[in-house]
Amino acid sequence: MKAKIMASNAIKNITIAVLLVAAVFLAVRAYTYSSETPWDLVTGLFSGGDDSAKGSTGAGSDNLEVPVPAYIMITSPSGEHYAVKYGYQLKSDLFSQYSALLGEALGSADSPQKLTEDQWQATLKYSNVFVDYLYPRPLSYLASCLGVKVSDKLADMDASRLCIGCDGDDLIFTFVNSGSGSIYSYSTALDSDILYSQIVQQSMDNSHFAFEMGEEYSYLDSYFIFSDEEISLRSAVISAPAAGDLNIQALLSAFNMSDRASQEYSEGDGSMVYVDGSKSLRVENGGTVVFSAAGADGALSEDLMDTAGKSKYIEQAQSLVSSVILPYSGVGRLTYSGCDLSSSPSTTLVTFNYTLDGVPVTLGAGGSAVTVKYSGGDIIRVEMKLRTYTYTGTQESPLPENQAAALASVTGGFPVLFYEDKESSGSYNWLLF
Amino acid sequence: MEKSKIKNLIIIVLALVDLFLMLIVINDEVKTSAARQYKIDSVRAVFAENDITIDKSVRLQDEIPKALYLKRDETAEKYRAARLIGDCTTEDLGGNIYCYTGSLGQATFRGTGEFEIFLLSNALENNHEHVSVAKNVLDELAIEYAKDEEPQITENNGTTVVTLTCAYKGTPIYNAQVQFTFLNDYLKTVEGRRPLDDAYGETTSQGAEDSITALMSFLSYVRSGQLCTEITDLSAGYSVQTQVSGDCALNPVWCITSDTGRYYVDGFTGKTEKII
Repeated sequence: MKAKIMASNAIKNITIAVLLVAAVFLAVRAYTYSSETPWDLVTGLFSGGDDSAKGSTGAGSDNLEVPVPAYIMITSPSGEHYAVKYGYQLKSDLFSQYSALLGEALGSADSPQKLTEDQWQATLKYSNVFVDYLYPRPLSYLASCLGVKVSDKLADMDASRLCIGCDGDDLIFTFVNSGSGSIYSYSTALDSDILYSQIVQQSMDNSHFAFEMGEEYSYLDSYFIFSDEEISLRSAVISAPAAGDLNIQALLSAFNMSDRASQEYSEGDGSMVYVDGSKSLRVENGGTVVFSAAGADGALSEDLMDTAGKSKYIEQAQSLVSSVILPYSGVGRLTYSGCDLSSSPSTTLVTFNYTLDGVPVTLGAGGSAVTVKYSGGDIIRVEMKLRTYTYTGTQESPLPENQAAALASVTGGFPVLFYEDKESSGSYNWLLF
Repeated sequence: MEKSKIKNLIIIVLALVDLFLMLIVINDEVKTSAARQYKIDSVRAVFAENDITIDKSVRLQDEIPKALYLKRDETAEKYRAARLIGDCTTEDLGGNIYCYTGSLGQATFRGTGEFEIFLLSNALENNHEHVSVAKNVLDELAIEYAKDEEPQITENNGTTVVTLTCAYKGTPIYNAQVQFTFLNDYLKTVEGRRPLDDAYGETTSQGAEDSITALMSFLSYVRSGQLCTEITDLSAGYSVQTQVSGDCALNPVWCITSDTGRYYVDGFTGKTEKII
């Protein structure tokens, strides 16, 4: 009898436990309208939240954007072209199809040969991908952005105009060395059919290089591209963030300045100055921010003391200024525009400019949007002109290319479409580069 | 006794609560199912208005796999190549391209996941079961193949080419295929694109398009000038996007099979491309 009662109690206890658990699951299911199984619900409770991306393939090197060129032109085996010069997304999509090959070419380049101008132009006539960055960039930096280590044969070379092309069974890498103006061709570890099979899938248009247009445009830079695009670009309004709108804490932190140790004072023109030891940060109302440092306290980049070449300076400068500028730039992007090494005194100047929808921006007062000055391996000065660009929803149609080419008819040269930022207003205009 | 009565009462209350909650859950399921069926019927009607039929056997799934991030493991890569070509030496060609040379052949692997292997005649035995040989080779290379994707076979003058589609944990990767070229029943070359070796991250599929939204994206694509009169299959899979640095992303896509070919619709952006 006792045993029966005990068994009955046990069954009731088990029944209560089962019904309780079932009630909990049904309640959660009813509350969340979820189609997950009870096991999924349990593991979800213990999984510590949703899975977030722990990695991405957006950049080859940490914090470096894949460098989309200013101009890109694909040439078919039959000599037809397809060029994209305007519109960032279209250029980016097209470049992404070939960026891996360019990276592999930069990494495996070997056996250099010097080319004549005629040989270079012959290369550009068939089965190749030509890119123009406008501003020369170290090939080591370009390779790093693409996620590879540059070939030793290219380590000290800078170029703005590059090409990967088919030469028989081989894929070759050709470029114009910005320093000397000489043209070099390198073999790579790749077969030409890898590039060929991609090029033949591309539909072509009526684009041409100036050198293919005969005498009519002989005054132009030979590598000016007449693209087949209708130039219609998004209009923008410009503003400079006021000093009060900036996240001062984030700015101080970016330059290794302590917001607690900093003294701050305002100047007559409304600028705010923050001082931390030998470092100072000046924030002006017109959107200009200047960081200065002196002596050992200014060191932000001790690991560059061994001078690993231009690439490391550019990468570090880009990483630093991107974190400061991009939160305020709106639809504007930042692009590298130059690196000057000077030996007396030993200084390195790295500059960046804005681009708007893939078009380079000039500032009304002249100069670069960002200038980073190194002394030895230390950053001693950073001058940034903060701008916020916002699309208005309307379009602008600047002069077509053939009319813009006439700009150079007297002096010759290379017409480039820029966005002129005149602080209170802006517009797209052709300028000689 | 009292305790027993209390327990009986608790059991009755819990049973009633469970019944009540069960009714709510069942009601939700019925409503969700009805809404889903309404969506499916609406999609079929919209496609019918555009002279496109959706085969009745096409199952419209809700879920798409998570996006995954993989990276290259050169040590594992060399080990797997050695299983085909024998103990091998490594040559770094630059640009994250490695060439492995063994007694039975040579293999080149790129950071983008593309590779090619040339085999000497004595590397593998003569075997006319080409598909079986191809699958065994992929097993040796630790590359999963999509079991539901039919191998493509072309034959011409003693040369047979077998193409298999790669997969990752059972999910096909539509733009990762491997080609096996047989000459007189000897496997001579293996080349293609593989997913990389080690997973290091993933992104939740929350916010991804379901199959119905993907079909509407496909309809927009067709309206822009593509030909299509019938959709015969719809399945979830991956598209691989690689960087030369040795990272790759497996992006979830919807694969739509029509009478004019196969297309994939990006699971997050809705961008449609034809699978070539």
